[in-house]
Amino acid sequence: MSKTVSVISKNFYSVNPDSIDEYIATGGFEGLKKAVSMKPEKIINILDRSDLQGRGGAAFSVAKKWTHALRVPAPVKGVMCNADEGEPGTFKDRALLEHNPFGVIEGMIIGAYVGGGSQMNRARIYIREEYSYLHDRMRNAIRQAEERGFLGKNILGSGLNMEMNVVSGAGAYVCGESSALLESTEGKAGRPRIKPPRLNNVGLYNLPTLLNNVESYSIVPILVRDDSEYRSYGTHRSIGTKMISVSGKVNKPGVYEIPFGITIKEVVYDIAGGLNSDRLLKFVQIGGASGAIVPASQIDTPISYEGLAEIGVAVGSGAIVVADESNSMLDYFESLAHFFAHESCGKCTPCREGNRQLVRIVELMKSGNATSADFKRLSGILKHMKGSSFCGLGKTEPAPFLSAIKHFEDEIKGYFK
Amino acid sequence: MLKPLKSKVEEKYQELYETVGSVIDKWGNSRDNLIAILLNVQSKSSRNFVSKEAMLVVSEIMGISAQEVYEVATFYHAIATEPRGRFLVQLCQGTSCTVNKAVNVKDALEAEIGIKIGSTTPDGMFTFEYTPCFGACDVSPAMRLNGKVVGNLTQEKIKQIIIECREVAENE
Ligand code: SF4
Ligand code: FES
Repeated sequence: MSKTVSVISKNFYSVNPDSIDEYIATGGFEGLKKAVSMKPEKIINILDRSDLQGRGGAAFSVAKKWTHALRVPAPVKGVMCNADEGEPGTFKDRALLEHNPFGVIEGMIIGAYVGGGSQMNRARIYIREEYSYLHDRMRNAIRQAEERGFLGKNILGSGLNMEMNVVSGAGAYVCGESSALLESTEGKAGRPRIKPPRLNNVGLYNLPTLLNNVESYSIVPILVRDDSEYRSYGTHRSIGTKMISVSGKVNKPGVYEIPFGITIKEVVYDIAGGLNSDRLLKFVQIGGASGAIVPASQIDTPISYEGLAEIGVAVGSGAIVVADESNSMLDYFESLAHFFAHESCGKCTPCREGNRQLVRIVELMKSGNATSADFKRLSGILKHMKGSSFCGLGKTEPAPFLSAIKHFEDEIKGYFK
Repeated sequence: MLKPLKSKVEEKYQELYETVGSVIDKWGNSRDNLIAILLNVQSKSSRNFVSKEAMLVVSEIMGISAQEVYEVATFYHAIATEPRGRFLVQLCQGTSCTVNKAVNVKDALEAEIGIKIGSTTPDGMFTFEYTPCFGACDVSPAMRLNGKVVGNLTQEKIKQIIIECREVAENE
């Protein structure tokens, strides 16, 4: 029996993503129609009932965020969709934009209905440059939605006004951080803003702004229409399903929708077809580049907020990268260190200099010249980055290094003389 | 298109002024379009970059200080301020590509293109560089060739692709 499900991914490969008619024919925009007949608080209740948590990685309660948006008084507000996924190993938002663009838009409109102002709300979908082939698909979807009156003035007679645009990123991972994303959307260098003020009060163009991830928005119309199917999946503490992207040394890498609660092992072997080599599984990295390293001995852990938390791991973006015994921790460290050094925006010292040093230490490890003093330095740097970096990038980056040191201590110590 | 009176920049870089001007017209002269405009200007350059002169022109037409335009152009990796090759070969250095041995692909590409990673061929034909993950991990090891994703790379495939690039250039 297949272990994947299709609620959020229901339209994948069966509905033409370039045709609003096909989307409507399968129940598209029913969620929005129902939403505008309800009080915003009622919609928030539905999200709360499913305990929907932000699917970009931060896992903040969507209901709480939307409640806040509803409460901030302002005639015009910003509505943003974060489609800048840049965590290595993560490509599930790509699949949602590619196969269900109208679902994302519908979720954003419901977001504006709940948390928007009374006048022309400004909605932006910030899509990474690397997905430039999807920009036109989204633009086309927006145009069709405008033609049908789902965007524009007085949407479905609800009094809601909204204009929506696609904005391109330009290759900067840090722009996935919400305030950096807004800076970039406004045409500036994407450096995180100091907070407070929080974005829900002062965000895009200084408007109160509601910002969610692609996957979070995609789930909303489904829940509003009828949340019973979605709620029938998952565990009692992680309700529903999760889009995950599996890659690395597996036979069938790809994007899958899973019910919360199945194990890492089931994902690797039953869904992704097992390893593509005759080696043994060595570890998986969960949640993207800043996710933790999970050794083979722990792959019976269920994928759910509470299940992963028990081994100190977060669901994160939903990425699962699989490595086998032929992959060394050193190579993996090198990939991570270069990635973060490349992506650090340079605004704060712990992250900027910490990353520079991490790369140097990894190079010393590679050349065989790393000493035990370097190992101490490595641990110290990671501790400082975690504790004193300005934004999430530097704060979460140490997680894979620290978990790798914990689980593969002998191997890693072996790289230091 | 709004032009300052008696612009020295326009006099000096007439052709560039036209090109950049039409890009700005297309997107609309507003600050939030700056990144899109720079990307678009870059795509019109035969060497895949935004020159200092182009940045000056953007600054003048849009009324944004040259420093700010420069800051934005240099902040984003997708915008280059130095000339790059006719073919931009960007190999992913992300985690998935790493476990699927992108390093073998790197060696093969270096051999085929004839340069070390991180450089441009003297004839300006190829730039070969590392790039962070671009979300094609399901087909790792992967690279982008002038922005287009090419995945499941093997030595054979690489040979073929580089030969095709050379053919395209020859027929231009
Ligand atoms: S932690 Fe500091 S340097 Fe690193 S990306 Fe965030 S603000 Fe920039
Ligand atoms: S890790 Fe190479 S494309 Fe994602």
